Amino acid sequence: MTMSFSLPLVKMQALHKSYGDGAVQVLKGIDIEMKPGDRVVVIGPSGGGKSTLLRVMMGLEQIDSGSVSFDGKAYISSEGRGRKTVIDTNVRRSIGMVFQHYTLFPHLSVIQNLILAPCKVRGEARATAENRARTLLERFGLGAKAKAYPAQLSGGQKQRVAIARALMLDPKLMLFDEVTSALDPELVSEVEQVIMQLASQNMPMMIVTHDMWFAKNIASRVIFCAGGVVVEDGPPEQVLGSPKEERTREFIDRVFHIKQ
Amino acid sequence: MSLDFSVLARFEHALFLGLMTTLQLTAVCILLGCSLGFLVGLARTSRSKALRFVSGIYVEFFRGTPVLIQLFWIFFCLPLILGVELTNFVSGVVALTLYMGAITSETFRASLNSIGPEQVDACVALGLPRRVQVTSVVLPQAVLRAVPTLLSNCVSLFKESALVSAVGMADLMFVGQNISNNTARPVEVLTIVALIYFVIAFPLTRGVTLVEARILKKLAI
Amino acid sequence: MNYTFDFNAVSFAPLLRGLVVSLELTAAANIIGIVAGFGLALLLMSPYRLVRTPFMLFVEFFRCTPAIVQIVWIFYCVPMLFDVFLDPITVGIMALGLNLTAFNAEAYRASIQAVPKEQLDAGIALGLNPLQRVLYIVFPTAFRASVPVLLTNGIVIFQQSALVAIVAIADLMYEGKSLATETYRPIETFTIVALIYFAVSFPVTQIVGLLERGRQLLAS
Repeated sequence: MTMSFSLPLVKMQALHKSYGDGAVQVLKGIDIEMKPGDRVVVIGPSGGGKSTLLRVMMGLEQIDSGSVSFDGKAYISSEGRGRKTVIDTNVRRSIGMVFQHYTLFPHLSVIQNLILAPCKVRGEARATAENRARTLLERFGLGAKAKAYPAQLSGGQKQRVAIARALMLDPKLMLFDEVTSALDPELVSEVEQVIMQLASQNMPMMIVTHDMWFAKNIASRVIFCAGGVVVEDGPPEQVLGSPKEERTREFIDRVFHIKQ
Repeated sequence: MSLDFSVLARFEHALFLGLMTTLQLTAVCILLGCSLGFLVGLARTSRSKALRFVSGIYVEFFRGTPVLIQLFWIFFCLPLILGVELTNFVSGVVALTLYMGAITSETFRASLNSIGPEQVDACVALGLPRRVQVTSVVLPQAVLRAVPTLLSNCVSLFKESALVSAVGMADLMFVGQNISNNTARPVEVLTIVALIYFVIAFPLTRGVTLVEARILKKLAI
Repeated sequence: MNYTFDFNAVSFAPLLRGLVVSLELTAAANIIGIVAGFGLALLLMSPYRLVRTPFMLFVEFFRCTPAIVQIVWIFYCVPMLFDVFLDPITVGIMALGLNLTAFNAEAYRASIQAVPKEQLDAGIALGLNPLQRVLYIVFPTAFRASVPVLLTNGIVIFQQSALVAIVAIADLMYEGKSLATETYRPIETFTIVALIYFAVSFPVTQIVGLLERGRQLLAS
C-alpha cells in the first residue's frame, strides 16, 4: 500500500444533521476525506443520507454539528442545532453541482443558461462567456442546441447542458446527485460519457448513483452510506466486489441479485 | 309584444361613448392594478412578517367584500376623509385599482410560490447572489406563469367596471340604462348592452386557453 | 377632516333585516346553483353537439357579462317578455341562481374531467360496468374535488347579492345605503356594512383554504 502525503481536498468531520427539531437524524457522524483527483461514488439505500451529504457539501443545507474544510480552507461549520451554519460562500464557488432533475432555467435558452452565472457573478464579458459556452457545448455534442430552449431538449441533453452550466464556473470539485435516475435508459449513457470525459481530465468528483456499472467504471473510491453513517469506504473492487462489512454485502446482493 | 331594434339607431353614438369610457377605465385600472398587485404579491411572499400581515389584510378585505361597497365607500367616504371632492372617474379608478390589485396579488403570489425550490438550489449551486436569483430567475418565470390567470383577472375587472354606473359614471351600463329608461324599451337596449360586454369578454376568455397552450407549452413553464 | 364620528347613529335593526334578505337570496341561489349546476354540467359533457352548444352558450353568456347587467336585464325584461309580474325577491333569486348555475356547471365539469383516466381504467379492469364506474369512481372523486370551488362560488354569490340593491331590493347593501343617506354618516355605515359582508365571507374562505390544504396532504 502506498502512503499518500497529499493534503486532502475535502475533509468532513463528525457531520451531524437532523430534520424536524432533531426528530429525524439524517447524518449521524460522517467523517470523509477526499484526496485531490479522487472520484468518490456514494451508494446506499434511499434515505440513507447520500443526497443529503452532497447537498451539505454544496452548502444547500444546515448542519447540526461538525465541519467541512475544502482545499485547506474552512468551509462549513456549525455550533449546534438551531444555530446558523457558517458557510464560506467564496469557498462554495469552487464547487459545482448537478441535480437529478436538471433544473435548467426554463425561460432562458441553453446558451443564456450557461452564461448567466459567469456574467452576473464573476463579471465576465458576455462575448468571452459565450465563446467558452459554445466550446463546452461542442465538447458535449450540443453545439447545435445553443439557441434552443430547455423544453425542446431531451432529458439527456438537458442533463448535459446542466453539467456544462456548472463547468462554466471552473469548479475544483463536481458533485453529481443521481443525475441519471430520472432519465430514460437509452439516454443514460450519453450523460455518463460526459462524466467519464471529465474524469479523464482529472476532475475530482463525488457521485451519488444507483447505476452500479457506472460506479464500477468511474470510481476511484466507493463509499457505502446507510442509516446516516459511513458503513464501508474503500476501492471499488472491495466495496462493490467483495465487501468487508455484512451490511454492504447485503446491499450489493440485493442490487445485483446474486448471492456471493 | 314587439321588438324594435331600430330605436337603437339614434343612440349608437351615445353607446359608443359609453363603451369608450368603460374601456378607458378598464385599461387604466389594469395597468395600475397589475402593478399594485405585483408589489403586493411580492409583499405576501416576503420574509418580513409585518409585510405579509399588512398585505394579507388588504387582500382578504378586498376579496371578501362586494366590489359595490368598496366603490360606494371610496365614492362617498374618501372625499370626506381627504377633504377634497373626487370625480366619479377618480373614485372609479381608485376603487377598481384597489380591487384589481387584490385579485392580481393572489395571482402573483401563486405564481411566485409555484417556482420550485430546485430552481433556488440551482442558483445557489451556481453561486448566484440573491439579487440575481430574484431578478434573472424567479421573477421572469413568475410573471410568465401568471399571464393566463392575469388575463382572467382582466376580464373580471372589465365586468366589475359596470358597477361604476351606480355612482353615476357614464360608462356603457349607465348609458344603456338611461336609454332603456328613456325609450321604455329595456329588452332591446339591455340586450345590446349585454351583447357588447359579451363580445369583448368572450374572446378574451378563450384567449386565455390559447396563451396557455402556446407560450407556456413552448417554455414548459 | 371635518367629520365627527358617531357610531351610535348606526342602528343595527335595518341592517340586520337587510342581512337576512341577503342571506336568504344567497341560500336560495346556492340551492339552485348546486343542483341545477350539476345537471347543466352533465348536459355540457353530452356527446351530441346539438345538445352541448346551446348550453355552452348559456354558460358563457353568464360568465362573460357583468352580473349587474344580468340582474337588471332579468328585472326589466323578463316581466315584459313573458308578461308576468315578478316580485323583486324572485327576480333576485332567479338572476343570482342562474349566474351561480353557470359557474357551478363549469366547476362540476372541470372536476369530473379531472378524475384521472387511470382510475377509470382500473374500474374497467375490475369489471365495473359504465354506470358503476360513474357511481363509485367518478362521483365520489369529482364531488370531493368540487367542494372547495362550490363553496367559493357560493360566497362570491353572497357578495354579488349586494348588486340587487341597484334594483331596489331591500338587502343589506340597500339598507346600508339608505341608512347612510338618512343619517349623513356614510363612513360609519358603509364601514359596518363592509365588515358584516367580510364577517360572513371570511370564515367560509378560511374553511375552503383548510379543505384544500387537507386534500393536498391526503394526496401526497
